Amino acid sequence: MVKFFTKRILCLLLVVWIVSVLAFVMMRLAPGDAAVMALPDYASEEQIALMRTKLGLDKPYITQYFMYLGGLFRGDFGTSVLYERPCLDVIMERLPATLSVTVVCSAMVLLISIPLGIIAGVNKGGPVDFFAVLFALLGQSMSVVWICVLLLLLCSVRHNWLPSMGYEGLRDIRYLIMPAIAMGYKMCAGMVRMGRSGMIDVLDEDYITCAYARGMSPWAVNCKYAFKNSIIPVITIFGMDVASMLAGAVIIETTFTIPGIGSMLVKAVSNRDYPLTQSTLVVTAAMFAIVNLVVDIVNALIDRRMKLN
Amino acid sequence: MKKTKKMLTITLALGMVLTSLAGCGGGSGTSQPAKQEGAGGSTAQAPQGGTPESGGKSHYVNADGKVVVNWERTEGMQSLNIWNYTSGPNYAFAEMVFDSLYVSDHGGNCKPCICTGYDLSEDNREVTLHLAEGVKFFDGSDCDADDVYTQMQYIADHKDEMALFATNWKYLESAEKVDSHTVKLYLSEPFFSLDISLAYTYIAKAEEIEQYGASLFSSTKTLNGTGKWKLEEWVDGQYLKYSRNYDYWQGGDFTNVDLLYVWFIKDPTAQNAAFINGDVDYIDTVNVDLKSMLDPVADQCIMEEQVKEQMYYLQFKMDGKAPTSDQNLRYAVMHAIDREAFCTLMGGGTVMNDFFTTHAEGHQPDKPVIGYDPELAKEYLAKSGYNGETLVLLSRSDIDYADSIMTAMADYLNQIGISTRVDMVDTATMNSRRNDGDYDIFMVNLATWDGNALTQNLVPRVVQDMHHNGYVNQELNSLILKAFGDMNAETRTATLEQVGDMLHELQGPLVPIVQIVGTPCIRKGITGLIENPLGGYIITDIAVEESYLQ
Repeated sequence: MVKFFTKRILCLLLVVWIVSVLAFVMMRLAPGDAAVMALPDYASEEQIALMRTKLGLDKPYITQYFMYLGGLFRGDFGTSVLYERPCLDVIMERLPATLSVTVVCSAMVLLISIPLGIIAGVNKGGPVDFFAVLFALLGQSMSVVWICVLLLLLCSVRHNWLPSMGYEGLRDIRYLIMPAIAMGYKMCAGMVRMGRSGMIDVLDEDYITCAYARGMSPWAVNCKYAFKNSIIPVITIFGMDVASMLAGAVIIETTFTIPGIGSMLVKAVSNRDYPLTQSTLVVTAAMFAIVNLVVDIVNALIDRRMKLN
Repeated sequence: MKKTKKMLTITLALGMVLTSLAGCGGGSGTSQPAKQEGAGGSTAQAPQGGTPESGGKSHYVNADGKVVVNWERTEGMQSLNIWNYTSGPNYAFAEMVFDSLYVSDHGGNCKPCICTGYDLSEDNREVTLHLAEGVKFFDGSDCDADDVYTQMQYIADHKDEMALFATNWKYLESAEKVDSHTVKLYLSEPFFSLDISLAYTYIAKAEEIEQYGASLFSSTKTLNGTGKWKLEEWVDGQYLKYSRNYDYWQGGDFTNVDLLYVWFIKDPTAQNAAFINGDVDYIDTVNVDLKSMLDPVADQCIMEEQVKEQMYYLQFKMDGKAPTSDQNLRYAVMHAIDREAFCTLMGGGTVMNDFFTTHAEGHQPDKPVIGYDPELAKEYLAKSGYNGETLVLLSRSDIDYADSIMTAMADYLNQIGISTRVDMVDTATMNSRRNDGDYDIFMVNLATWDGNALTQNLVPRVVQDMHHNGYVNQELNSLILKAFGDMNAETRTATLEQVGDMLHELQGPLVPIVQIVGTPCIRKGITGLIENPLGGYIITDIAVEESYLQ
């Protein structure tokens, strides 16, 4: 177990380091100049040169990178050019909104997709299966933008069930319902399909027939053998989706006025705010790696064949 | 036992993940003001609208009896720094919290504020500012010559580091305190836009400037202005919350509004939904395609088109090598495109035939039209030296309707036989390519601040050739600079008209195409708005009609 964790934490650090290098290189390769972006477009060459010096962009790339890396080790993520504040402060202000939506969305997806997928798989061809397939098909066909607009029109404009904008963290979950539905429906649809097809495949296996032959009840077979084996790919996909959600969802944030990390990252990239972009990518990469670690642990606990070591 | 243990482990693992996420999620301290305060916004009061006419509750009075208005802006704010801001929301924030030396309506009319007037020396290089008495900061201390002197000297010393002042106070050399209500400024060159520069100089407290320097504006706690509104809270990406300054030095009864929220909502559907729901009382610009969505609340709002002092313009590469250096080709381009069609595409707009927007000095509404005429365009093309090269049309992807306009333009040019390639890029790439002169024609939007087409438009874009189009015309440049240094409005306007004539004749390097029209939506009952020629309204004196407060 210790070996496993040490290995995975080293892996996590490696991933974060690679992301930091890639973010640094990609941002420098992208056309545009952070100093120019920090000034109005009528700034003179002298002003741009002064700004370059102020931002440390006049130094060689390698020096810039090691200064940035050194800062990371000291917990200093640099200062955002756009916000004129420490990057970590800006990220930490935005992160809770993204996490809140992720939590509500994940809970909703888990509660709906796993039971629906499993029941549909068990009752293949039945009404629940038909509903699940339709639900999944609709979810995978509809664009997130359209779902957002539809929710706004239906739940906010027409019926005034839910507030159209704003964010109060987990204190008032009403503000998170529409964003969670908009973000989670597609994900939910994918997981329903995955769960359903996994269950159907597993139920065709010989060991299931064998279990029935031993006189086990359908409920026991489904719960003890089928569910356990069909859930692993669903959990893996779920982990990947949660990790992606943590990187922020620009459309959702823009539509529902949620101050999350996604819209901030887009703004940082388009303004060539190098420190903020790099820091955000490092933080999201770390979160991504942590979520994947948790998924691996859960999978290993479910399936003995996937030993931690 | 073993099974129970395993299930418990799984539950624990999932629980830990969710708890850690939930823990992070709840502690931001951000809030939805309408709910937290029992109706900061109007949602809680009258979700389905309800004006006095319709017999519903007031949109504007919350449960505590406070008058609250919820404003909307499309563009968000990044920083509270009033010395180094470049975006509209930052200007709007600055004029709410900080009084300036002069105050501007952004249409060319400036009037005294902290500075009651000034005297100029004979050579126009010494400016003696006379300051008002009784000006107070939020903390109750006096704002006097010490504060103005400290700020002006700070600007003189640091202007190259601060974008706004580098433009407005380019010629400021130093400042001197004469007495407690008089400050003298020393300029290296006279410039005509002194009033405008005074209007964009918001005064902070001397001790705080000395203590904090530029980091004075890093948090709402350190903001100590003299303005009509105090900034209570800024939730990045969501809203600004202002409260009325009841102790405003010119009297706190300039409004009856107690709290004002400025919401940043980017999505047009969400803007409309928020208005219909009563979450906001104003929409900055209603999307033309979504106007009908507001039909059910048409009786609750006022929507009028505003011609903004903003234009879309084309800039041609004219370095002698690019095909567009040829005047005939530029005329061909201008006759090939149907700018009326662009206006239709944008849901409104005015075709421009001279360089200057409606309120700008030098505007000549009767300039000859270079209209849509494909046949004439073909004639000009035949006369030009165009050899079938592909022209690169460059624009920014974040400008409203730019993609549609550029696509239509490429189509029009292809129809007369000009080969084109459209490059839609992000702002940073655009800036970089303009710096490298990597374009044949580019299109962007441009505002005329305070009726002044010189400081941010003609001088940097034509004289200084900031976008590297390569065109040098000494006669044109000297006319522009003559206007820039001319303190007499009449002669300056005449010079600008000459500049306009030359640019019209050249159809380059800058050719305005369309002046932008916007349609704000205001909930009935809101008053005290000052129309901002740049678009929208100045809201420092925003109020609500008494009949709407019952």
